[in-house]
Amino acid sequence: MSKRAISYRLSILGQLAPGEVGRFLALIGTVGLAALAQGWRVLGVLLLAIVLALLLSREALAAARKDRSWPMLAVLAVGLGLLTGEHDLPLGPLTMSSTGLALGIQMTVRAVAILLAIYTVTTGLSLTAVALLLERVGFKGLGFALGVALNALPMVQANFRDALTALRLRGGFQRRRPRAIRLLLLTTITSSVRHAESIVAAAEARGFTIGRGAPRHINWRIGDAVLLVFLSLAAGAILIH
Amino acid sequence: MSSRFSVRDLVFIGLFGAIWGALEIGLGSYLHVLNIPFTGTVMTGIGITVGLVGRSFVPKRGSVMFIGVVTAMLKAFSLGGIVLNPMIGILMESALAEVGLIFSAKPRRWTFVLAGVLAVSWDFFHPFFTQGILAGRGIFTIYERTIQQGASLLGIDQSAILVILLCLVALRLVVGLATGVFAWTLTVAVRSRLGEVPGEGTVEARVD
Repeated sequence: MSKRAISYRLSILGQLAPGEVGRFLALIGTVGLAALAQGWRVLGVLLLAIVLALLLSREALAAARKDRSWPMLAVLAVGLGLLTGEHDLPLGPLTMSSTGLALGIQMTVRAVAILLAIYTVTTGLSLTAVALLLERVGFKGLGFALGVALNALPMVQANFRDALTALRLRGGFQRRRPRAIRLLLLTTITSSVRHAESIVAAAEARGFTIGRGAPRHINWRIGDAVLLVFLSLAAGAILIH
Repeated sequence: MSSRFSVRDLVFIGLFGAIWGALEIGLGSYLHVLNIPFTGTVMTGIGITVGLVGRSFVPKRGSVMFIGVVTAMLKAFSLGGIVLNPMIGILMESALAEVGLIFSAKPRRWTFVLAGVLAVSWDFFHPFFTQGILAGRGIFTIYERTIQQGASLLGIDQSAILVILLCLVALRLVVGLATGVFAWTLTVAVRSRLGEVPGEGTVEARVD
């Protein structure tokens, strides 16, 4: 097979895989369905979220397993069973409300589906792709601002720590705390803003302007259209009686 | 489509996004250690203060919202993993602050106060909004039953609980008002420390 034929086939396969737009559609669709689905239909939303995670970003499942919300969700599920409704369901030493427990489990399932959808987007997309998508909806220059923020963050955190340490050593937070907080903010902001002009000069010296540079387009792919159809069918199956 | 923000504007937006993000992670935990009450509301006020000071450096519509977006993305991708609730909070607060600043092109004390009030008031509605998304409409039935049971348990009228809720809203309004005034005075102080002459530039600085 010639190189041209191989690259043509690869480009077709690439088009079939959902891209950045598809991933955002998956997030919006899952969150929307989670908000609209009532009762045990949320199990369908969870199943959809799992399927999308398997298709788009398997790291999402691992990331969701490590999320710190699990204890809170467990408390939500069990707590509602204990606190609401008539206690008509004996479970070992406890008697719970079947209505409350059902509601708690449904809420937990909904929360898990939403978390999984968020992880599917954030583990499958780079920060650059997210910034580019947001630039398309009006936040032009967001990528550059985000780059400045990421690079400046260590410097800002160092300024904050130095100011906080200096204030604490002078006993600033033992009395007159509002004044101490004001001084802390004032010092952190002025220390950080002093660097701004050098960053601007560096960018302008490199000829950087908004809209220039190697364009990176986020295109609508065949895979995104296929995903949209799939989401529509899933929405119909979950919501329509 | 050309950007309404220049390179210089975007640098300041990025910088103030980094400052807000650094304070979110650094100051929040320290305030908890100091046992300051309503730490969440205080942190909201501090975050919006940073956004409003940033507005004085980028006096263009949308700059505070932009700073909020940068901060939210920093939180999501670098400052501690996925933290959906704070992200929603930051975005809504910066959007509401932007609404308050709509009424004047230049930064003014009264627009800062209005922006602060609107932004901090979100702190009251935030848990209902996020819990409503995660838990569905059933959560409001839970709230209603909890209020009924709580009133019955305490032997008080349900209207007393509504009074308590109104007091909590009033607290946010007071903190928001203080945030706006604080942001204005901090802006003047920052400009002064940077060596800018009061009355020049984009901030109307007065020595009261």
